[in-house]
Amino acid sequence: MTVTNPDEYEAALRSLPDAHSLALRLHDAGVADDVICGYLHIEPEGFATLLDLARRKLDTALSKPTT
Amino acid sequence: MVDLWPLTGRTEELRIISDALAEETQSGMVIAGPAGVGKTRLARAVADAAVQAGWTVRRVAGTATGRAVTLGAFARWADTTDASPLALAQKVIAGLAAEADGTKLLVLVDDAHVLDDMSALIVHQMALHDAASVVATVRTGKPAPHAVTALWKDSLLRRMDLQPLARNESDDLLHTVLGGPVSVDCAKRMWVLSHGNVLFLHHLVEYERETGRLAYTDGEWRWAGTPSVSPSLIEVVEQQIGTVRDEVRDVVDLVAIAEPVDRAILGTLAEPQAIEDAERHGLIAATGNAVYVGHPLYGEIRLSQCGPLRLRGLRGRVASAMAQLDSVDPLRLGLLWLESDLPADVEILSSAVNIAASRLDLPLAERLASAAYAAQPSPAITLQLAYILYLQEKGQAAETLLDTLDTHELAAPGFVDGVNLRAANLLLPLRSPERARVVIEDALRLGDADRSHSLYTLRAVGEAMAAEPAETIETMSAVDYDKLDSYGHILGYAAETIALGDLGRVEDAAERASAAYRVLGESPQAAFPDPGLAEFHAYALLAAGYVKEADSIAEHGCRQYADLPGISRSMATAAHGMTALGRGDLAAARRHLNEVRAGFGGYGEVSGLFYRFRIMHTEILARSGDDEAAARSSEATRDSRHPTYQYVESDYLLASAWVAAAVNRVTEARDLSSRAAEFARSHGQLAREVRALQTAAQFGDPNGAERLTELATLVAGPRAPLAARYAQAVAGDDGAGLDTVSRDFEMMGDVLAAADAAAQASTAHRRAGQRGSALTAGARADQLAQRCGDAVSPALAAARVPLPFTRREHEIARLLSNGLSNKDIATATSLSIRTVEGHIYQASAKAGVTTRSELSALVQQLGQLESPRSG
Repeated sequence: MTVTNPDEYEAALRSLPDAHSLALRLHDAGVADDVICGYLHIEPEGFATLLDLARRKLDTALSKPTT
Repeated sequence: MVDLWPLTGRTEELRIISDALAEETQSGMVIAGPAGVGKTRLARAVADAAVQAGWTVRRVAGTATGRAVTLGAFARWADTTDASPLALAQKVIAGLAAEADGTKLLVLVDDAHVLDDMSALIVHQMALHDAASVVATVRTGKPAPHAVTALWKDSLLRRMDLQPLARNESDDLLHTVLGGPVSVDCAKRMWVLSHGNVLFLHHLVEYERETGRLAYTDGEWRWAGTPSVSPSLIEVVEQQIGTVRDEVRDVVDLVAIAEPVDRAILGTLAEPQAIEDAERHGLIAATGNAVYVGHPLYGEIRLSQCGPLRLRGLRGRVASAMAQLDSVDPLRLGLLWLESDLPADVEILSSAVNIAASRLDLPLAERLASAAYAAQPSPAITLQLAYILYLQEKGQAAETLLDTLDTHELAAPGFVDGVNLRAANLLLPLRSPERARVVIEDALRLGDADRSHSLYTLRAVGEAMAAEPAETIETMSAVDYDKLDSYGHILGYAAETIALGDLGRVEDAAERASAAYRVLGESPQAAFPDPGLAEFHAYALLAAGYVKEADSIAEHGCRQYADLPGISRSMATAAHGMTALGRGDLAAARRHLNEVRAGFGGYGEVSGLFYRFRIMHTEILARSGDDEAAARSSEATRDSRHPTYQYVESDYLLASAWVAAAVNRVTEARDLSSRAAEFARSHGQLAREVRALQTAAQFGDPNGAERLTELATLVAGPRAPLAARYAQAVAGDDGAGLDTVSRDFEMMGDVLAAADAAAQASTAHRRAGQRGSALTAGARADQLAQRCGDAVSPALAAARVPLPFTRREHEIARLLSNGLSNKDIATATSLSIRTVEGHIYQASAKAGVTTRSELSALVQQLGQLESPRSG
């Protein structure tokens, strides 16, 4: 992933479903996985896939041309 | 119409699932989420892509109404005969694989949270053994069968928690569906109401478009609707279903009441146009010929709005149509019929009873059988209901029914006829072996030569359980196995395995067990339960001294039943616990027995099935030094004693002996082990007598030496001659002899006995003044005891106290240290109080203390210092 303008990054994050943007923000802030699962009301076994999905969606959002 | 809506905003989800399907293991995904979020739509897109890639895709679905039908989701691949659960599971998985014909197989399981338990187990098995890739949807917040939650909890599949669409994704979807630009206000208000829930959005859009409030005006879609409060998803769906005509709603109701409904059946119940309209509106959806409601919520909403009479009427209409076809699941048909407004049809209900019983759903089998009996209490139906009641340990209810039949009516084809059923019911749930014997003898006196073989076989079962091994073999000598069906073979071989093992004829016992395994192997469709063959076989081997072979048999049995529901798995685990105890692995034995207790879940208390495992559990706890738990288990075992289970009486007495030994009541322990030996001897249970006398020697009782020497010539296997040498060494206080015996026990695999013999060798060496040998043997005893999981025993405790006490002084000092009064000690040791006082005086003098409390404190201190467990 290329270095991204912070505004573009923030805009891309905001374009994601709430659970995905929240998972990425909390994970980047160093919050423990089980605490994030508690916030998101998901089972711990689903966290890895959720994070994977959130990152992929973020990459897609970042790769879209800004309008 | 849900299906007709495009899939937007799920590109990454599809890629992740596609990546997961490409994996060799964990191939598939569980898609979890709330109702309406788009789980099924996503799963179907995955399936479409798989088909494009050349995969074979099969779809099944859990349904609210189908959950009551065991194996309902896989009924198409299941056999309609009353096969065993194992055979059915294998058949379903093999059937799916055959349809794939070498291509990759994807099984799509919609709404897995409402699968019946056995269907859930099949999905679990497919994922566990990588028999197919599995994509399953589950609704969050709803309970699911254990086998389904295990899919992600046990990491068999990854889990994806599907999220509602983001605002921009929702806008894109609206734009695509409406085919033009959408006003900012419309998109925003629809987002606020739907929160990205696709089903909600779908119904809102369709309803508002139909009412004309959502319209294309001035180049964009505008929405004039202004809901005063935010409606719920259910309200939105209800609102939209309410707009379709009655005939279409009727189609939804017919499908919802019995989904999946065969398209041909639906065609006989509704107008083609109504079916087409329902499909066009997305209210129903078909996979092949199986028709489901378009979304589970539709079924839930419609059925909640139907009164009981309408529900019964709907079931009646579907059941009547189903009954006209050959290829329907008899259990689904039976259940629908049972809960319909149709008059009872005994043939349909009775057929469903057999299927329900073989799929281990006994409460449902009882409901069906009771309905059939109420309609027509014929002898055949009476026997069927009585058998279901017997299987559920409802002995008195079964006996009351059987009592209504006369001698001729009790006779029926097959092993489980009325007489044998009545005898088995008396033998087990009703705990009346004598009455059982009378029933069989009365039937034998009727002189029907053909039936006599099955009657003799059940008589032999009763004799084997009554600790009459010689009589068992004699009875079975009159049986021609060719005259028995498969179940008769299994029970006959089981009785002979127990009896021959008890008689010390271990090779013959193994041969009978092997014959039984062959019958089981040749009848994979058999619906009858395994009575515990591996356990009987393993016990015979253990008693003979073939410890490793016994363990291997039990382990194999465990593997065989590992993935199966029902009691068979728990019984196999119990047998493994038994052999773990036999080889001295107390931790494994405890683990297995705890698992068994949970697995039985209270079943087997009435019929005594659990009694013999409780005996074993008690001994394991006592040998582990958990004296309080052992005492509690002992009390529970005593309370659950079952008069039919006489063949384990010596085990019961030996377990009680170990409980007494755990609290230092060695005299009582010796007395109980002597009683065990005497019981076994008086019943001709020679192999069990060897075990009892060996245990007595472990308690330091030298009196069994002569009898064991005699038994060594009668009982096959290495245990009897070794136990004879053991008792002789104990009798002679022969330290060197005990050293050798200990090593031989270790080589044989009985590590607990090896530890005790080593401890006794240490004590004997010490008494003989051979300090070095005493220390060596003592260290070896400790090491063996630790290997067993910190086993305890009087011999091990005695070896750890270096005080120069006699055995009796040591026993009394230990009791004293436990806080017993002289009177209590006298009672426990069968000595007079004066004699006890004399021993305490002598022990105090040897220990160099002057008071009773000092002696007690010294013994406790030494015990703590020397015990490797308490340090």
